[in-house]
Amino acid sequence: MATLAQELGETTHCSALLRNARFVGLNSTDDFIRLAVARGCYHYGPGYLPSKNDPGLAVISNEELVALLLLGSNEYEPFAIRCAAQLICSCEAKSLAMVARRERVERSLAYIAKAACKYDTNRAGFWTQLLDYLGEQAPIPEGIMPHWSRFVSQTGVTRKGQGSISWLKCP
Amino acid sequence: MAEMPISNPERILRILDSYLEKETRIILFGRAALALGFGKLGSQFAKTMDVDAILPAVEMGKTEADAQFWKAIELTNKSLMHEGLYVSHLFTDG
Repeated sequence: MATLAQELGETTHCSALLRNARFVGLNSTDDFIRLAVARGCYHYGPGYLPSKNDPGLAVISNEELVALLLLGSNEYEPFAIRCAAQLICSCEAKSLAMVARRERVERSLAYIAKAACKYDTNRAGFWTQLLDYLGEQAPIPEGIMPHWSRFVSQTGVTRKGQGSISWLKCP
Repeated sequence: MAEMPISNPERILRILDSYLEKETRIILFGRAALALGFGKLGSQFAKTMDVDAILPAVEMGKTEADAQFWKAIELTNKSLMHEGLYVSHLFTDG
């Protein structure tokens, strides 16, 4: 199976963070998703049982978990990217950008942040700040990353009128 | 004559070295290598925020198992995080 990095046309690095994650029993992309579900990404709970072995934020912070979900060496798994988009709401922008730079996931993160600037207008300040910290990133060709509509919940047209769009967040 | 201030790559590597418990070989490339290996010409890269390195593929088995190396990388990044400096872009040449 292709990796996310291969899809993006990038090389992968030997990640000390990934090594640390393996050390605490997080061995696969599925494990990262399950940990994110346990930390509040309940939207993906039906497909991924929440991890029962959270090593704790001091060992793997939410910022680091976002980076793990977006790592280029992961097998290409859109659910991991969608999960990262939801978990970002539990992160601090500056720390997230720093970890993203270290782990070479800035492009994917910027893709999510750009979508959020349009569709998570209540938190536009956070997303703009994150994009500022990330700096300019090479755009990702269409068709690789999940469509923005995968990062939100949308209601259809109801008796009350047009449906609404809500960015998926952790409680 | 005023001494040149210590470059970011040198700071990062000195800290990494302080955490290493045994001799460890890494091959530098990119701006850190230019800053450290090309004297005055390389000094324009002194402010680069990270050190990129190649871990030789032929030694990767040994490197993978070298817990003190990975611990040193982790500790270095932790201690420099508040300054935005890091060493984490490690590639193999295989």
